[in-house]
Amino acid sequence: MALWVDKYRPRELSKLDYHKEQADNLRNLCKQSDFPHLMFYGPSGAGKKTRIMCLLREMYGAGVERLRNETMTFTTPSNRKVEIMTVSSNYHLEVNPSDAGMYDRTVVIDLIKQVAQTQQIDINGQRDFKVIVISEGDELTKDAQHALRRTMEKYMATCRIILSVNSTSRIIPAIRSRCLGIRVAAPNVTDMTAVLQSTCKREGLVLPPELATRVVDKSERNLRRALLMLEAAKVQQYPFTAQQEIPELDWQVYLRETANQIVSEQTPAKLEKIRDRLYELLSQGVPPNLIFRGLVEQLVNNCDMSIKAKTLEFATQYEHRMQNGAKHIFHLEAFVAQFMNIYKKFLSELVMTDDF
Amino acid sequence: MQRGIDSFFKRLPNKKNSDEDATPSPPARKKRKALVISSDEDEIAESPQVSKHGKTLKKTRTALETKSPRNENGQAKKPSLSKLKDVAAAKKPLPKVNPVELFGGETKRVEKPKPKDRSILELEDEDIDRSLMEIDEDLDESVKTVKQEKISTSESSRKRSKAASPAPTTKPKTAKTTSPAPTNKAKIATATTPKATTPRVKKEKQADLETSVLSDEERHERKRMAAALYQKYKNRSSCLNPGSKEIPKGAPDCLKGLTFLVTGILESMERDEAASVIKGFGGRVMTVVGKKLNYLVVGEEAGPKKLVQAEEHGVNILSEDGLFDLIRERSGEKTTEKNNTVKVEPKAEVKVKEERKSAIKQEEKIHSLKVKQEHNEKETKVSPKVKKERLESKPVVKVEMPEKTKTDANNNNNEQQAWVDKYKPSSIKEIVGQSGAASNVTKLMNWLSKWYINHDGKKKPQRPNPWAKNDDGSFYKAALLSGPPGIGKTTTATLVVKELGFDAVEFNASDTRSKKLLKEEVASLLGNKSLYGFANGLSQAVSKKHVLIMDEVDGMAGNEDRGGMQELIALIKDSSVPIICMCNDRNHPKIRSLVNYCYDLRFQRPRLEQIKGRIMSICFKEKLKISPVQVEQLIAATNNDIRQSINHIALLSANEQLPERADAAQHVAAKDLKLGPWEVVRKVFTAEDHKQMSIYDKCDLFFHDYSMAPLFVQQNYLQVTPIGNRNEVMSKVAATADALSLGDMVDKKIRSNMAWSLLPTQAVFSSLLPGEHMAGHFTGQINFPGWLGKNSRSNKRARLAQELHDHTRVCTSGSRLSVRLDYAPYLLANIVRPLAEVGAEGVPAALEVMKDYHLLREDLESLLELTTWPGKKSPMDAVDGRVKAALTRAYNKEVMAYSYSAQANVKKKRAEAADDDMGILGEEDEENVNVAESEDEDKDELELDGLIKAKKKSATSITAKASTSKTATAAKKASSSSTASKAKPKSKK
Repeated sequence: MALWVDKYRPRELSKLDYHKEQADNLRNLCKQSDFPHLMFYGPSGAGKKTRIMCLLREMYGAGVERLRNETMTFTTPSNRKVEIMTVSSNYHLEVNPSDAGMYDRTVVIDLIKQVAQTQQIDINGQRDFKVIVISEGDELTKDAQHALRRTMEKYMATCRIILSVNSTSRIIPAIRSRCLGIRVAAPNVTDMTAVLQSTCKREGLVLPPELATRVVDKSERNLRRALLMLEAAKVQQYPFTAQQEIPELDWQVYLRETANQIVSEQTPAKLEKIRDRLYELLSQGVPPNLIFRGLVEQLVNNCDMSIKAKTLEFATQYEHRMQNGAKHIFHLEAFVAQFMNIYKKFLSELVMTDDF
Repeated sequence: MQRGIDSFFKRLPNKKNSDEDATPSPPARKKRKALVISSDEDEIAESPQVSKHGKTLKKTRTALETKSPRNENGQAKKPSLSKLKDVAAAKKPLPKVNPVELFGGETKRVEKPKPKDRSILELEDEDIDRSLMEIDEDLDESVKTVKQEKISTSESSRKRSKAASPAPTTKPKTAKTTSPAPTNKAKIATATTPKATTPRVKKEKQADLETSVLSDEERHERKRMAAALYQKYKNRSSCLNPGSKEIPKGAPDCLKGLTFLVTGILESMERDEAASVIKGFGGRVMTVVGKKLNYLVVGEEAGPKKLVQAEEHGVNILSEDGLFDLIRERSGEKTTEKNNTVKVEPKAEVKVKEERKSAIKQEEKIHSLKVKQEHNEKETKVSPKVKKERLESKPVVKVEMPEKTKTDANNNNNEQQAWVDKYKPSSIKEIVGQSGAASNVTKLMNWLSKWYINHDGKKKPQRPNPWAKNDDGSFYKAALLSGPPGIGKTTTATLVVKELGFDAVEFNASDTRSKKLLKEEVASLLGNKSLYGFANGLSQAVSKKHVLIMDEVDGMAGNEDRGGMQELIALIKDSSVPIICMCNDRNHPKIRSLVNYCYDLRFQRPRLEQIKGRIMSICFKEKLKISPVQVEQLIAATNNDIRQSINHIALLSANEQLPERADAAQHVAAKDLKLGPWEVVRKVFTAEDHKQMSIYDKCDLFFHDYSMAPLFVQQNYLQVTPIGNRNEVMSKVAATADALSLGDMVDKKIRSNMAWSLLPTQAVFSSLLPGEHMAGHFTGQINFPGWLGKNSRSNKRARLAQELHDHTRVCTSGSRLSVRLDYAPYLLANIVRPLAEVGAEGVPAALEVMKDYHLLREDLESLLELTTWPGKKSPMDAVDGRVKAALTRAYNKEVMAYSYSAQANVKKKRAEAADDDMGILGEEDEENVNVAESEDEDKDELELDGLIKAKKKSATSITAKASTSKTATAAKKASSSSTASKAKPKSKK
């Protein structure tokens, strides 16, 4: 009883719901004997991984779906043991080096090189190269990326690397130039509603178009999220109604509440409470840049035009500092403090002008 | 001679002192001297025979006292000689004393009666007398000339007796001031003419005869009295209120020509201090009440004999205040100078003689060595070992610097000494914070003294229980003294060793202590026997009692000392001598192996009050004006380190001499205080503190702990109420937060690029600027930084999320983040929903989801943790406890073997983990390729896989299978009708 999102995931390039032209291109790519390193990029929930798996299936057949879960152990130069979970079939290996944190370079050097060096033994394989899928490629440190670039050239004969990244901005140009970039854009609203509708149809449900649109809106064009939401909504209430409530994610709710509290009161004591909430968000793994975004969206909606620009300026400033700093909370808090300050000033000025 | 008389009255203490004094301790005996003396005393107290001479002499002397001055002179000598004989007699049995008993606990030693035959005693006495006669006869002719100089002789003899009597307690500390007496004496010793002594011997002989008149009982009685007095003397306290009175600033020589004797305990000064004061003003201090004595300065518990004698001689009796008054009165007044040189000569002769006599006492048989030894003695007197004796015989100090002339020389010498050395404890009782029965000193003393008994090879002591409280360490061959620096570990060890009279071989960090060297040097050293005692005529000539002191064992490091620790342990294991090791950190990995072989004595820092007392007394002695509060601060600043505290006051005193720097000195104590992060953060934000702080001071606050300071500041800046307009608070907070954010960037740069030179920059952003912006006062409590806790929690959750992602990766597509933020809540809801809705019947459905996503039971807990938000109810709360248990049971029954279940199961219920039923597994996981594969493997190599236990193909498992399949069908029915009948699951159980 898997979730819909996994149950109805397309497994073949021909069955993809959107970006069909791109799918055709990929199929053509497979038809040739060779293809370059690939880099799938696009936002979360757009279908990068789905496309990668479809592509592999297209190349190697159903065999790639026989997946194994393996734990591999590496010893870092500092004699620390790092364990990495990999998923592999006979034809490919999927690894997420950033799981090893700051030791991802070791993973790249040891594991990927080792796999890349070995020749494909299976003579029945359609291709004489293996594929290494590196997920979350943009999380790789610069060191690891540099380690990767040489591997990509040297073992071109035996292996191809497919990178799955959210944004190419964090991939060094050297790697970008070695890869064929394939942009998987987030599906547009029409595509998404179509997917939702088809899913419901296969489940034997009736989905009102309004609800579908609302779900798409709420999901921020993240198809995964949309499907998960839809399923949750189904559990909550079925038959669907157009205006039914769509369950939200806890962290989004929490973040919104936090933003509202900032607007409600501007005192040091409140700031301290906000700090605790920010800590909570961070410890739940909500990325700090998402927190920034969520806060700014809410705050800008709730404040006067005159301070919107200032708010955004502060947000950008502290988000930048956060990237250069070590402790996220310092910068989040500084942003909140600055906003409180300007908001309070704005309010007091408002009171004064009212008096006059 | 008066000396004799005096010593007669205060026989015992005098005896002791004269003994020490007159026999300028041969180097070998120095260590042992204390013991010898004490055994001597005991002897006197116990056996009436010994005292015989003394008592009879006293009688005769009193009779003689009324005679002519000539007689008087001789008279005085007699008792002293007889006393010597006493000592000699007492000495005799000494060799017989079992050293083990001597060293094995002082208290017992006292009770040891020394077998002594009276006849032998007499014989010995005769021997001595004869030998003395031999010496003295040469000098006989000069006697007549002495007659004219009677007065001076008597005076000089008085001087000498002073040296011998216990009264002048010239402690080493005050040696600067008190030393005139010893120097005098030493000088005299060299310049002596033989004259004065001759008559004495003769008289003595006479007296000896008379002695026999006294009955034994009488003698015994007197002995006892004297012993009691002596005990009292020994136990007397030091001065009550040191420094309580101001010593008047009299004119330099206002007491010139006057002679004083100090007796009893003065209120504000030690006796030697009083003596030094008197000498400072040109007066002379005597130890014996005689005709020449002008003033007797009386304190509490003054010697009764002295008072009596003083009355007899018509001496003025003064109190301490009286003395001060006298000084004030006589300031500026000059008296005619007396001729000192004349006096000195005869006295010196006496000295030589005395030395000889003492020598005789000690080594009746080795006459030939005497003279040589005396030379040796003189030379070696200075050796530090003498210190030990100071406890009981303070006059010994006098002997220490025979070459030095007068006070100034002595002063100079002490001035050059560092205060730490100058005021180093010279006896175990002076060690700060180590008095009391349970103190480390006592423990060490007991351990060491019993060592040779415990390790004589006859018995095998049991290793004590490590939690035993009052272990005396008899099992251990070595002791380990551990504790922070500057609290007296080394001092304790050396003093205890000296006290017990062992020979110490010391190795410290300045010696190379590699395995090889330790083996060679120490082994050979310990195998040696000291000829020291032999050469010095002790019948216990060959000393076997070594102690190996390994100081600073935690400093055994580096290439030079490689293997030193193992060698040390090996050494301890088969050591034939006690070993005392010392270290600072007993938990150091290097030391830890050593600890197992050592009697563990941990030294704690003395309390502030304990140190304060010592420091104050040093300040007084050095005439350093320092307020008690300042002293307290100073001690606290050094973290109760005595050595450092003394160094600090030495610095302060140095500053005091430079008037322009006196102000700076005030800051020394305050500045060196180490602040904890709480105080730091308080100081950072407190406006009052800012007033007297420069920008550098404020930055320094950051450096008390630069890793914690920014966190503390960030945690607590919101608790501060800044001074100024209340409406401005928020902007100040914003500015502070901004500075902190910048500080964090700097921090990152510092740590990622090793750019430690940026620390001052960080200090400005993380400590100074927040302090400036928010200067005010704390309204709330200062809290420990929450960041640390929150950070570790987010790390933990990140780890859980990572595991979850790893496990679900085969069938999901999302990244770690999306699994965590998007999947997790829905996944959990999918698992929990059937459980919450239909109870136990929902178990298979829940299990199905878990299997689909390859989750372990532990992952369910992770999911729960990852989806908890404050104020939100956990979905698992709605699930009945029994249902949860049912889920766990069902899970355990149908365990799936994933590659990662290994780690998870190794930690937890490993036993249950693989107790699976293959049939069900196979049926239910048809789609799941990887499980099927692993199943195949399992069939092949069941034994090899640690995960999988041998299958229990029992009836129960089959029934369980049946029942679960039933449950599964039932659950399907139940879910389709969505009405759960409670009776059904119960019946199935």
